[in-house]
Amino acid sequence: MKTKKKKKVFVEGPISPEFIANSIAKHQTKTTIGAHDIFLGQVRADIIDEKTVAFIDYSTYQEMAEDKLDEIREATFEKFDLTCMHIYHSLGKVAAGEICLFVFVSAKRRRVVFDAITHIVEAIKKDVPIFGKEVFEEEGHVWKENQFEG
Amino acid sequence: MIAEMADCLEENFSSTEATKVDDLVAIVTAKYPSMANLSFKVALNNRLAQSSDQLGERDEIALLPPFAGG
Repeated sequence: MKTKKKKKVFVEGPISPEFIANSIAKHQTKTTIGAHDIFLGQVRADIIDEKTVAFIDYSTYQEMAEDKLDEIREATFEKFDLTCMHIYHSLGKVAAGEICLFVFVSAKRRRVVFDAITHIVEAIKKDVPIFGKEVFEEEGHVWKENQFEG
Repeated sequence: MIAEMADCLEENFSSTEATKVDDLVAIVTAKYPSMANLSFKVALNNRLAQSSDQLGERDEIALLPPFAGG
C-alpha cells in the first residue's frame, strides 16, 4: 500500500490576504484549469450575553484532524473531477474580521467547483476535531459550537 | 473545554477498571461530575469510537467537545 504524506493544513494565526493572493497566482501556470472556487471563513464579532467576541483561539486534536482531512480530500477527489484542492485552517488566535479557513478548489469547468467546495466546507465543520474558544473583549470566554443550516 | 473542566490535559486509566469505551466514560464522568452535562464524542486511537468498543493497553482515548472548525 502506498503511504501518502499528509498535507499541511494548519497554520499558526490568521490566514493573510497575501497568502491567498499568492495561492491564486501559483495556479496561473496550470492552464487546463478553467474555474476556481474559494471559500474563506472569517471570525465574527458575535455578541453573546452582551459581550463581544474579540478573537477565537483555535485548537485541534491534531493527528485525528489530519487523518480526517486526508479522508475528506480523498473522498472529494473521488466524487468530483477536480484538478487541485487546498485546505488551510488557523490554529491559535484569530481576531474578529480575520480569516481562519481557506479552501481553494480548481477544475476544468465551473459546476464541479461549486459543488466540491460546499462538500468540503460542510465536512470540515462536521467531522474535523477543531475547537474554538471565543474570547470576549470584556472578559471571559465561551466555546464555539458549529451550527448546521437546514 | 473538557481539559479546562478537569484541569488536566491527559490522564491514565487502568485497563482493568475499564474494558469498554462506555465504562471509561462512566469512570470519567463520575470523577468530573460537571462533564455529565457536556456533549462530547469519544475517539479511540484517532477514530470516533462506539460505546461498546473494547479498550486495550496503551489505547489512546480522547474526549472531544463540539467541533468548531471554519
